[in-house]
Amino acid sequence: MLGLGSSLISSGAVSEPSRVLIASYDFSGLGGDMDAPGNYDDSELPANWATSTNSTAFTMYGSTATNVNETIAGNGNPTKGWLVGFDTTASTSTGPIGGHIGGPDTLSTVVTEGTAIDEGDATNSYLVYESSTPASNAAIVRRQIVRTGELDFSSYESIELTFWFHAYGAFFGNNLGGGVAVTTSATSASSAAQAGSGLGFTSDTAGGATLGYTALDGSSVSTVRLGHAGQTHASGDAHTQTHANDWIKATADLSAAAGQSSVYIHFGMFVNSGGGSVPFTQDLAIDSIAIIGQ
Amino acid sequence: METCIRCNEGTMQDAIYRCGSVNYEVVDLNGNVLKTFSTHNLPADDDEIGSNNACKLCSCGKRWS
Repeated sequence: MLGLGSSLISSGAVSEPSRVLIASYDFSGLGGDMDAPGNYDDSELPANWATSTNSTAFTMYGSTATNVNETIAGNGNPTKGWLVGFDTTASTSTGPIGGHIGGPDTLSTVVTEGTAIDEGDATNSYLVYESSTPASNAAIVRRQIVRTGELDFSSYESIELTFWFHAYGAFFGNNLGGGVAVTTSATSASSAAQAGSGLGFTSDTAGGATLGYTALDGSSVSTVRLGHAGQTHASGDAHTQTHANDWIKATADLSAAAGQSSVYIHFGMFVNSGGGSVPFTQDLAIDSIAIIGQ
Repeated sequence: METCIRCNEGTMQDAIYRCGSVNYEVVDLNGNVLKTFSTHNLPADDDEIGSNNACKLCSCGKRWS
């Protein structure tokens, strides 16, 4: 037996599947300055991405649909809820100081630095849930989705998602926040359409990919809703650049969806409504997304 | 003397960044508008209107809090 095994290895018959960068997104060149003069109307999603709006409701879970009812004007892109831009968001005491600098993981590079750029320009754009009215409400849980274009996982046995996030704002918490669902539907993040076991949302607080990260204090966190226990950052907005407003890297194992030829990754925001007067302080930012298959 | 990290030479003054009735803006300690950052379309009774932070405004236009 030993001889047979040695022969197989030496002949190259046993080999690891190669790693492939299925997709990556750094939002560079998209959107505008989110606290510049004039109404913010420059948001632009990557090609083939889509977001739920008043004219395109998505299924969040079960029979529950998205409910951020913004009237879209101008270029047809949202100005609240999921959007893309650079610099900090306009509201006080929420949002990052600017985009993540390091970019997404590649096949040869694992990005480990979460440094944010102060202000920046369109080369530093990021995805953010802008939680000002109507994207939050002190009495109603708001829900909105932004999703990728169609992705093909049929050639892989394992799928890893990495991205960087920033969650600064006093209103995060109540087991709500940002989640990731992987489904075979372009308009549903529900478990009814999930691309693999556990990858669809089942309620405001459950379902979707398990997201792991190392918090800024060094502790390990595993959750299905970013911001579930409150803000993950104590600094952002117009603060000076410090470790406290560095972006945090999240990782999710999406291997349950491996083998599927048509999937969509949905970023869902479940917005806390739990009393108080500052529901607009829930700007959840995401940047530097990489999806690697093997 | 505080120095603006962006321009390193501007004059900094104490101010307040706020969500006003129409705009996000920086005002001086007497409420006079020093700089408008963006116009919003929030309802007149929205909770966000009136929210504010103490900040520094540099003569270069950069705000810090």
